[in-house]
Amino acid sequence: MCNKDVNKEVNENVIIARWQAGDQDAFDELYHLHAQAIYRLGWAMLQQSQAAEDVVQETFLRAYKARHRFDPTRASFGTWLYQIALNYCRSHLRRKRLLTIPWLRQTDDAPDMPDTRPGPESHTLRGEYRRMLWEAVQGLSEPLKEVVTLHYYMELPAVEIAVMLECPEGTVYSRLHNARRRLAEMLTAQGLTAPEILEAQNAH
Amino acid sequence: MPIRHVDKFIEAYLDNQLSPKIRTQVENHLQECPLCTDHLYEAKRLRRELGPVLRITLGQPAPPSRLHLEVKQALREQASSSRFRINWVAPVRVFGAVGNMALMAALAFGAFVVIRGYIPGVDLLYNLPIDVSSRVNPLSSQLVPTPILMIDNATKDQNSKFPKPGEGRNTLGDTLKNLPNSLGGSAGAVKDAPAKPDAMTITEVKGDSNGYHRPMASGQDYGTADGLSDPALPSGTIAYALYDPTPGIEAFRTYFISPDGSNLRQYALIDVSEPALSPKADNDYPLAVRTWEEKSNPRTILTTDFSSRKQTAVAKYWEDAQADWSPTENRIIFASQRESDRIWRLYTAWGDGSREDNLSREGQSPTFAPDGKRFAFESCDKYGTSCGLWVGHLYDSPESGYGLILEDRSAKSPDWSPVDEKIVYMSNPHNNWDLFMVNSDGSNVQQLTDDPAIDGLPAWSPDGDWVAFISNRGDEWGLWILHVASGELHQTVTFENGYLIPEDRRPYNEHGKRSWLDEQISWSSN
Repeated sequence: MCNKDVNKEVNENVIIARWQAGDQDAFDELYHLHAQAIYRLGWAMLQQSQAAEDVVQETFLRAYKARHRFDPTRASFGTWLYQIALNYCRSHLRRKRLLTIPWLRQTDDAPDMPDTRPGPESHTLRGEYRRMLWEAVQGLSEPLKEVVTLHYYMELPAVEIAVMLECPEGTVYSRLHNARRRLAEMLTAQGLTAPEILEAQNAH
Repeated sequence: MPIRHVDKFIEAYLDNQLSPKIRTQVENHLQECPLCTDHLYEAKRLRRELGPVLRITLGQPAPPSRLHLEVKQALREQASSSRFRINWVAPVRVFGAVGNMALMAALAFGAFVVIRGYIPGVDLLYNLPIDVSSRVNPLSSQLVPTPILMIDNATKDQNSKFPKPGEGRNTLGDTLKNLPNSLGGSAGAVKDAPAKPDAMTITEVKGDSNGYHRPMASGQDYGTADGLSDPALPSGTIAYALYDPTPGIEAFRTYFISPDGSNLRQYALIDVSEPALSPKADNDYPLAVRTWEEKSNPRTILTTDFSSRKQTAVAKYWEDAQADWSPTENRIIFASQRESDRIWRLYTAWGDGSREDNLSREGQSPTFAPDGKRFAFESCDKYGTSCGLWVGHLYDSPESGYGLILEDRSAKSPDWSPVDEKIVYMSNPHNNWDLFMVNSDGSNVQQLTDDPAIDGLPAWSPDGDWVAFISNRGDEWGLWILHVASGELHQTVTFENGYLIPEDRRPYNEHGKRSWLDEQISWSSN
């Protein structure tokens, strides 16, 4: 994701150049490097495995079409790719919202039914608590949900998120802060605190 | 101590992202400010407590291994379909060839073939149910300066005083008289042809390979003294938006219509306006619109296909507006008031949302030249004294690359011809909006319309022969087309159930009223 390793970065630049020239093997390598992260992004934003798969596919299709416009001086390849993925998620969400307008509902294009599953099974946290927190994250406003996704689920630093969202770093920091505060409030409203959740996790 | 409270630096401070100078200042302030110190501890606590829990909330979702092959397959399909351009082009070409043969055959038999555009994706669009019973507009007293436009389905309006193609004007006899001699041997057959309009064969065929049907009669035949001349109406699609004030809807609707008034369709997304149709036939997202839906993210310019099934946000802010497509690239130019000073500035963005560039120039209503490099726009010099139309170049610096070509403070909505150096615009030198035309070097200003009615929002036809515009001629607002060389006029449609712009459109009122001059229409061959 965030490549601090210089060798890795040089290596990736070579792969990208091959990919831009249409090399299939280079695509395979880029897919292995980034598909997982894009899938996580899609999953966190759209809460549906099929939609997350679509995000991966559409991101690589769009990236390939726009491959000659990737500008390494402006953003890392990952950032660029995640930006495309995020834009796709946004338009998907937007479309879903538009389809909930009654006037449009009569069309044949039925809205996707939201999948409320909390995510794949994990043994690190008790299912019930994790579901609560997951729902709290999904209840955040979209800008806040985006930064939480990018920072906590994709482990991107604020600097890189700022490049992706094309906003000042300060904005990312304040959104992250607001998101954490909102989440803490939501947990309190459920009679929970984050340390309790962690404790439950450790006890499990 | 230049920094007062340091709240906005706390998160960056915790991430060790502050410059040494600011870091020292923040630390000094924290030592003397218990409030900020509390905030620092609170931020630290939230990070410490929520971070680990949040990280594991998502779990470890992973893409299924089959997805790799599926994406690869999709990429292959994309690559092969782009080699043959997009897949509707082939049938259209066949259709066009068949149409041309049918046309020749029809001429030989002296019958008339009306040629009309075929719109790709028509089957995906909604047929527009228009309620003609609601003709009376309760707000019709506000006609000027915010026009209330009414929309009408041309096929239903038999009483319109403007003849529709095929009824009256465009008779077989008239058309045949104007057939150029170059059509040769068919002329003899023409005289013996049955002369009744209702006997003619109307066939929908596609025009030439660029999708545009050129009038059958040659240019010099337009507008001859006997008044019989009538160039065949142009084809293509004109897009425009009206505001639907029906309670509960209260939103813009975007419409597509053929220039002859047929084939009126409504775009599936509601509350989008300022449509811009791409002149490029191979654009997967041929329509750019501004979205108005409140509280949505992003609320900005979208590029989309006609069915609205595919959409991409190409800009970032709700103030982004007035898109115009490049004729050469998958790229739009647009204007925005996104900066806090609310000054209109110009930007470009790629149609797939992958990149945006600030042209570092104040201006509004940008329009691309046929070369896709130069553009015209409305603006003023930095003193605000010389205002009018300007021409710039994408790769020039703001200082050197821009020139005032026409000093006219009321010049608005310029549209650069898709084929030459002519720029059409609207202006109201005598307190009445009319259409004008100027060359891109500022020479040869011509007035195109001179009618007591309001004429505005011009858009060139794809061949550069016609201009579509909005007018309230005959006290009814509607969409008109003007043949520039001959002055020939046709009404495409009368607006019946919407305004061009509502007076109290809320998203715009945050920073000033939206005016109908900010709206736009667009005409493409697709």
